[in-house]
Amino acid sequence: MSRSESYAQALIAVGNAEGGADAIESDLHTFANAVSGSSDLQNSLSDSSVPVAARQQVVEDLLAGKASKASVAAISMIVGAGRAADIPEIARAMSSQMAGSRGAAYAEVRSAVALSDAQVEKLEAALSKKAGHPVSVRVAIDPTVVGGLVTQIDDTVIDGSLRRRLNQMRESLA
Amino acid sequence: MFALLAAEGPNGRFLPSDIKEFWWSAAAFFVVLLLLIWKLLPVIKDAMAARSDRIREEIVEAERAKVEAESELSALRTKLGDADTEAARIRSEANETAKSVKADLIARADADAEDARAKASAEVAASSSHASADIQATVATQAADAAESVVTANLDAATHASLIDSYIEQVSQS
Repeated sequence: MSRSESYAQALIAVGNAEGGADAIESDLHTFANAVSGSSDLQNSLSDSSVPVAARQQVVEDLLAGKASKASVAAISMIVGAGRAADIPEIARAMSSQMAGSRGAAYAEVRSAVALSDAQVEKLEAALSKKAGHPVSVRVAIDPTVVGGLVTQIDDTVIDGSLRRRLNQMRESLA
Repeated sequence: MFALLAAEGPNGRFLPSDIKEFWWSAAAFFVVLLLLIWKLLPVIKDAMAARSDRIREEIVEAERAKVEAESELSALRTKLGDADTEAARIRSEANETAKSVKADLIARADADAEDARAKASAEVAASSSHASADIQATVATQAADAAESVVTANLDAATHASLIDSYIEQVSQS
């Protein structure tokens, strides 16, 4: 078990104890998207020269009123441990473990725009049919996708993005 | 001597007055003459013979010197003739060498010029190829950028939804 998986397991335990594992998972993904999209934020949260209290204060300021107290405490704890850069991986590990506890596989979907609930349900149904077992989907907004979707289940990637087609066109022109 | 005797003779004749004196004088004369013939004549003969021998040797030596001189003259004339021949041969060889060197220099200059032309042609071809490749790459990049700009500019909510629905459809059918 990797360090990220250990953190994910601990967060699930805290969430179950507090009765809000799903909320922690959702808030953690939201925060992971913010960290992944801002190198300045990632650097400031990972900078060991910045006092731990100051880094945790940044987390509390960012999530104030937008996340549960349990989520803020969990993310603050991760940042205080110097693992801010691992938050996206911890979020994926947490979703994977929670999906596994429900007997489903975890699929991370990247999209340039948000998906409607109906689209998410259709996508889960299609991926479940393809995998032969239930699949739990979490959508992350990624503008680099341009259009379409990119789905990753474990080591399998299904790339239907415009970015891939544009890259193919660029390679064929070159 | 007879005149002298006659002048002194009292008888006015050329014979002395004392006939004995005549005889004694004659005897002395002949004795002296005999002595001269006996002693002096061989010496004179030897001297004459030696002189003749010396003259003969000098003539022989002169003849030999003449022969040697003529031989040397002939040799000199022969050498002079050989020198003329050698000079002509050297002139001929010099002319041939000059012609050969001139031909070599011309051939080398032609070869160098041909090499320079070939190198210049190769460099021009390489430069042209590189320029063509650079232009092709630039055009390809600009075309890809333009295509991406057009695609991005025409992406609206309906297109995104269509792309996502199409992706879900492909996953469900695969």
